[in-house]
Amino acid sequence: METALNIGPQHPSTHGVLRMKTIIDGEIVKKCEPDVGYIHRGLEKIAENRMYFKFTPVANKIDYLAAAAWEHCYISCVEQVLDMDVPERVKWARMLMLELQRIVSHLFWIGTLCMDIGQPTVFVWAMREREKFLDIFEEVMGGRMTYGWMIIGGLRDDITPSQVTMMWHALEEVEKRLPEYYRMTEKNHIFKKRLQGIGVITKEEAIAYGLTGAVARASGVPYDVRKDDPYLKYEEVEWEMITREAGDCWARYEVKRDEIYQSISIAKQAIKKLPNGPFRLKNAATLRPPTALSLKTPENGEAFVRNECPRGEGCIYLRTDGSNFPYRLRIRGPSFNNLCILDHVCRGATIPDVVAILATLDPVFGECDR
Amino acid sequence: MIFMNDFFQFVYAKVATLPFGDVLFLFIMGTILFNITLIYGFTGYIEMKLIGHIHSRKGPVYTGPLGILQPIADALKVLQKEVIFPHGFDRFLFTLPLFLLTIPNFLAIIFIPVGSFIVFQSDYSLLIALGLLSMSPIAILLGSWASNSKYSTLGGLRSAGMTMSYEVLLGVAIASVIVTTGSMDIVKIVEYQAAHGLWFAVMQPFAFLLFLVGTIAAVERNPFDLVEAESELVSGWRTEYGGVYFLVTLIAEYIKLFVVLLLFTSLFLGGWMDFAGDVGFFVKVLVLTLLMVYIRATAIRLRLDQILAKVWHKYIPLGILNFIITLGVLEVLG
Repeated sequence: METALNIGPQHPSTHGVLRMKTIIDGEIVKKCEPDVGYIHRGLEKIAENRMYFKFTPVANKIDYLAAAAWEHCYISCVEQVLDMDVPERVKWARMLMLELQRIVSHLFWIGTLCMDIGQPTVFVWAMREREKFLDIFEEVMGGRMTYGWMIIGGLRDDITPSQVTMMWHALEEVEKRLPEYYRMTEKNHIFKKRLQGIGVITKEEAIAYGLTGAVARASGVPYDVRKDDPYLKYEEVEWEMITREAGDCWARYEVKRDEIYQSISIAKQAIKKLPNGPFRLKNAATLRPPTALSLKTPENGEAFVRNECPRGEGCIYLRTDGSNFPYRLRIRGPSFNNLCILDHVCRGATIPDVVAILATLDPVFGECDR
Repeated sequence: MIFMNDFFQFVYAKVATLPFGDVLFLFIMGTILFNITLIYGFTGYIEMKLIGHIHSRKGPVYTGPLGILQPIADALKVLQKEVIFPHGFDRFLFTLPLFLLTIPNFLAIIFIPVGSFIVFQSDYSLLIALGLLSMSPIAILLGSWASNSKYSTLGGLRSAGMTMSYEVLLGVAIASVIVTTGSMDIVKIVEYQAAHGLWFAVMQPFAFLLFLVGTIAAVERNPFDLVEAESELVSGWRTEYGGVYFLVTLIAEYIKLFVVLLLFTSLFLGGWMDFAGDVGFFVKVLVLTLLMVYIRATAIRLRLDQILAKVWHKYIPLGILNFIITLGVLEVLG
């Protein structure tokens, strides 16, 4: 007997406010339609009514679990339209923080995945390691979740040597701790059983649905903006793109797991190579109030920036009309596109599988609903 | 505990002569059940504290010394809550599970030795105890149906599905023990172990492991906690139970855990006729409790179809094989 079951919007495993309109037959899911938009805040419209520097805190809240990634996405977009070339130190420092942010986001993701398939211990451990990084963010960027550290043309504050030491210790620590997690997850054959062969996305489907990030790479699509369209200093550090062919939940888990190690490696290289020099452009100060009130942008200027956010490819398109306000700002969040395939992969799965699939697709609804 | 035994015999001797003597004695037993409610506090505390430390947290610290009163505080907090009944529910069937969950589990204690204290010795005590313990899935199914909620119903159906696996598993595991002992009396099983100086855990290792799995499934804890799987079914069959109703279901769960562990200790770990007598018995129960908590903190939830496949394809054939081998060995040894 088929029956409708509303999962969400208030449900422990929907990671925020997703409503899944599911049709179930016993435990088998016949249809699973995601219903998004519960925290739509009209961010794109908000951008049109704010001066450029005033949108930075809002850009942080696009994806509240990886705020630095979106902060950089927005700031670099404005810099591109103003045709600014930031100093070398700024590029390295930004890349360093972006990778730390990626580690934090992936840690959170491993925790919630384990929580969803019934293992709260790893969640609490992941929070423990994340805490070290949040302390660093507070020290360096001035906030634990949202920052406002990057300004148009540079950074608000420089990174001090003691902060670099802190980062190094935190990276060493998380590298040491991660095998403990895997003792709880990979060494447990139930974990493998719950993920292997579940929610398979083929390469063709991944391309057709416009999936990006770890979800696409797990399906064998070798696409990573950091490799394909390098920004900052990703060309000058050594790292490899992680891909898997299987396309199931297990492959997505493996990709993100290995990406943590890659991020640690990139961050360590960035720390070693962090050059001395100015941490903002000379005229960057003029982009902050009160002089920012008279900021001139090009008539009919436009810029398009894409970054590899922890959840996939995040894009911002900006159009200017010469005034102090953006004419149009368009945000493309990876969560929204990744979520589109939910119905397709959930058909025929059981309710516990839907939870695992949703956890490995890793949507964040701030960014999905915008 | 010897003292306790004498005490209860004394009470029964006094009370039995009075009108409604047996009822009065049951009432006194009820006071003992109050102590069992304290067991909830104790087991709950151990669970909170140990899981806290596994999580690299501290667990409860503020309520009482070392936070020992936390389960009681939780219970009091839940008691203050308003009971909200779901729309279109069946009042009778909604309330019935509370009794079906608690009373049979309490009654099972009469047949299961608590240390050397045995209320009622019967040739079929093991069978009766198991029968009483297997009442709770029925209660869960009734309660989930009466809740008129889809999450509850799914939880109840899962419970019914699980019963098909672990009841058989328990039966198969115990069968080997019964044929070895030649009796379904728990006391005789304990005496048999004492006479041979060997635990059934050593004599029947496979039956021991199967019974352990069956026990965890029977008390519906990780990795078999899919009946109330929080991340899938919100709170499973007890989604709609609030306030004191919720508290009763929660306490019933801990009581069942305790009772099952008492049975486990007597069947496989030599009961009280071993080192340190009654103290040793409760040490064994405590160790088993810690094992249960440890499993809960480290296991990952299985899917229903995975449980059924595993139990029916692997464990039950293994149990039957074990049973046949036991029969063969008994035949050879005479």
